[in-house]
Amino acid sequence: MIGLIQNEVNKMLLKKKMVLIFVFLVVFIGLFAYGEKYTYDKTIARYEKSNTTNGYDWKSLVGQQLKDLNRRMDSPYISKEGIASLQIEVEQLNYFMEHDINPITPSAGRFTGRFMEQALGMFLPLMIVILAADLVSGEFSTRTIKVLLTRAVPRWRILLSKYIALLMMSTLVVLLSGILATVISGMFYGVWGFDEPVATGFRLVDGALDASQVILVSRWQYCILIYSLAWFVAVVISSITLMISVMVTSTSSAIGIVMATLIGGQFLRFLLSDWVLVKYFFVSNLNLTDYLTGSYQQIPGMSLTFSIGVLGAWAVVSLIIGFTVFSKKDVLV
Amino acid sequence: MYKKIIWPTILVLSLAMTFLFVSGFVKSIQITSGKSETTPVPIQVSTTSSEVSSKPLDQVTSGEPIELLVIGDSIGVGIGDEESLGLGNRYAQLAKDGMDQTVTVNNIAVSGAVINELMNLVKNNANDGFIQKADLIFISIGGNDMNKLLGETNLTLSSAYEDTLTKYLADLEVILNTLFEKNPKARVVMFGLYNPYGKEVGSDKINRLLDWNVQTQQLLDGYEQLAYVPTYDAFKNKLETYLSADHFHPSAKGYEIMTQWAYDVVIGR
Repeated sequence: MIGLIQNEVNKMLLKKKMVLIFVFLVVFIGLFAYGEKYTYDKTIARYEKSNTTNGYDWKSLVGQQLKDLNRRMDSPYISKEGIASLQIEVEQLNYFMEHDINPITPSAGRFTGRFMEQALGMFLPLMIVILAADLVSGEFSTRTIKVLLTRAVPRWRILLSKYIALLMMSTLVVLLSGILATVISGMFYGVWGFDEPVATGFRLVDGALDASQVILVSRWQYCILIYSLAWFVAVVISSITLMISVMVTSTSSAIGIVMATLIGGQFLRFLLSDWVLVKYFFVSNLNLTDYLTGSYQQIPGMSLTFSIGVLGAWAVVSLIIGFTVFSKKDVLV
Repeated sequence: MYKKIIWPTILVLSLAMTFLFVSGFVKSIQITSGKSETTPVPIQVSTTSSEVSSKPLDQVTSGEPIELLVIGDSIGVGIGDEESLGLGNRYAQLAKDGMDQTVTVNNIAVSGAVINELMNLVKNNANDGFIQKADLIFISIGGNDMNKLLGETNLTLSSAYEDTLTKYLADLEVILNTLFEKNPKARVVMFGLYNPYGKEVGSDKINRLLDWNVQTQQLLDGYEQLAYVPTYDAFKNKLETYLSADHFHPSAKGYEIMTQWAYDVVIGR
């Protein structure tokens, strides 16, 4: 079995897919990081140029915010939950003051997290599709399927080895994005910021945002959380793409189908609040990281566990279909 | 030579990362759905304001002595006013000079307050005394909610703004309904948000501010005894004179302008 997996991995490497993914990541991350730096520099320049008295004095603004926060915490009208979330804000602002960092300064840590939060819906699935789309359909188009299937190995084992190889490479793609995002943005910003405190732990309670269980984690821990969720998405997309690759003998059709589903699904998300069925579609649930940041549309019933459940179900069903079809498929090459 | 190390490297690396990601995955689930210690209190939205009394509101405009209640944030408190007067006292001055009216000012505004805290304050029975005896109520709120959006980038501004705005409008509606429920005869003046940063903050954010004010006005429109002071228009292009030294709160001149506008609106000029 290990031998089969190794073989599949070698096939993927030989097709230079990782090189292509690497290039995509470098270009995309580079543009993204440069764009953010450019916008930030312009903002600072504008403040400093036209502010008649002093330059962009973030320290006094933050100082003012801290004073206000402390005053609010003393107010008798504040609820217990309110105090907790205020304390979090105070700690965050204190961190920035102590470390003499402007809170809106871009840092490599923040970029790495933000990049994956944005990439999760479409860019990461695209990378996975590059790896996975021709996993089976490629064997058909190059006629190597005959060679593969005439071995004394059960068909499901062959597919399983492909799937495991795919999972391994997808995991590495997620790792690679994280490393590239960190390195490239680090070069642009010069600030790492991995020990910045980040607030997470927002929950939806009775339709209202509950910030009482909010905790502070450091940026690198937060990034690991984000990339772990990204990894799960990668696994799910791998499973679904594998099924499509099994059912369709042309690689371009496989790619087309998956991309069309992803893009169409994004449009369907606009109907999320009106059409109940949409929340059961896997594309609507891809943005898992939104649950961590608390910035998501509050649809009743949708939570991290719900989305994970839906995605998991889609993956399992896809695998079942994929394996069944592959085992029974008539090969007429 | 490469071939010998590539496969083991890939194997080990992917296994290690899988392990890391699975633990991160489990942690994420824990964080977002841990047991809640505090039981959520269901928000009771009071009945609509359709039962607001339509008794003619002569008292405020006739010169009879009235009670003015100021609630909201630091602008309600009067931070930045070099003469330490603020909205309430300035209004009392104008009413005295204009129609010899005695205005008793009660100020329970809290510096830095956001809409959620104001809602709790208004719903708190401890403040019923102030609310029920008020003939005129000044509200200044929203600035601190909007201020939080300063740090958003182009990518995140849209969703952050929509989120904040939706919550703000919902809370504001509860505040107004509660106020009128507790005091059907009250007349309320709400001050719109101005832009203390000028053009430097970027047109994206300025547009959001304008939208915020428009949405606020639309909500206010549904209530009869409600007036709105368009502070944004008053302050535009005059930030040097209307802002205090902290470049954020109004100056004495700024407060003067705001109060004058409120006064004109209230007495119906």
